[in-house]
Amino acid sequence: MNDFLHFDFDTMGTTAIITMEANHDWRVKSLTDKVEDICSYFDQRYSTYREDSVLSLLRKGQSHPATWPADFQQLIAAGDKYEAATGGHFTLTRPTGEWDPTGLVKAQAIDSVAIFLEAQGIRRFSVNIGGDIVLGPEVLPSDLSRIAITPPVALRDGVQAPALVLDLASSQYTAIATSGTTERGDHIWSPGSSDDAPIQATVVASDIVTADTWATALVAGGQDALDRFLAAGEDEAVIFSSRTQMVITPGLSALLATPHEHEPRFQQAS
Amino acid sequence: MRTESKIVYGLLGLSALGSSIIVGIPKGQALEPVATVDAAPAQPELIPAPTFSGPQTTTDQQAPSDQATTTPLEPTAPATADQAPAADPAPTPNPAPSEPVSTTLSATGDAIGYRYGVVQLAVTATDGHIDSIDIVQARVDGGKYRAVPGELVARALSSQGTGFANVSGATFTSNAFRQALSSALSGVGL
Repeated sequence: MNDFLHFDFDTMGTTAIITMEANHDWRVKSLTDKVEDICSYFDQRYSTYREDSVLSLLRKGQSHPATWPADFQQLIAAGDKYEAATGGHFTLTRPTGEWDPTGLVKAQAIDSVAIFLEAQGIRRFSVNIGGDIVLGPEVLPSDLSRIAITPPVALRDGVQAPALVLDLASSQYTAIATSGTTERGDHIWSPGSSDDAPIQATVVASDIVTADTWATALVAGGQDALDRFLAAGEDEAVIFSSRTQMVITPGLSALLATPHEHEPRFQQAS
Repeated sequence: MRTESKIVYGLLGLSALGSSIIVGIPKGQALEPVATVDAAPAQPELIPAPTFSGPQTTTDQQAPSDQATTTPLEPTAPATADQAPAADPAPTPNPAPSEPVSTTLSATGDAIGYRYGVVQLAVTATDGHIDSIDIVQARVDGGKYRAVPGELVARALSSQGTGFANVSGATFTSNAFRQALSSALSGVGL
């Protein structure tokens, strides 16, 4: 059994945790530095929380987003794409009309880190930034392929046990994202208003941006979003509503992890 | 060695959630949506067909026959009046323990009414180690969605050492689950 190595650092207002099978020959320091650089790039460029980010400076300049640099145009286009895909339940346009890429930036950073790791020849890894996770392309059944889903904060009653544990090793899915009305940096602006509104949604998909945007859409869009998600029929979801209920899509039960007793130990990168 | 590996394989597996939907509950009654005023039309696709993707092929709720099986606790009357009868834990024939070194017990806990339904668990343990926790009955009353309280099973699974390297989410519990689990555990001397 291979051991795992992981390192973590704070970025984008949350924590990133990178975990890899510890049988690689790379130099850990240069690798971790590069991963942090990637995340910092996204933060410095697109953060709405940092006054010195490129985005904040562009906003201060009062220029129209259509005149912004090419990477911003790509981000705007990506937002439009996922807004259309989710029937408008995911959007980068705030109710005030202001464009806010926060809902896409973290997922794109995760994607970029994963692409970087793969480019280094690393095939068995996970990239977890603030609870949104991508797995490497060759993750074998192990702790690395097993991902717990936390229950919504409002339903926790102080207990930290996970609601579900999924194992993605034998599936086509490599990405999982959870959105909730209680997360930091809430970018869900129109949560359902019924008394049984979704309060947390987790989506398992083949890429992290799809997973993240749909997770947001399922919380914001309630039943209509769920209908659209099921009609698309490509990915799986777990949704908690405010009435302590959990909804799972039909294929999700095949992803449930089974217990195992021998768990690899973690090493802390230094 | 203990007999637990076989038991775990048989009772849990990937199909734990699927089986939880039907086990012990009369077909057509379990988890039928209870209409609420604002309820959308029922979403039958939200309930996975009770297929068994795992290796398990049995829906037998009872402990494997090679276990020493205690008499299940008498399920208490559930909180709601139209409660589906619990899977009657008809005591399986109680053969002599095949492995004297191991003691495997199973017990069914009380049916616990919680805010939105009823949950009742059965626990099997070998030498003080929980082999399996299974839902005897689980029903959700009301709500817009047709929901599966399968997280209760999963919670139990995780509590017995399911390893995972990552956690996704904002971060619940059901007091009903803890009560149900505690009730079942007391039946197996844990």
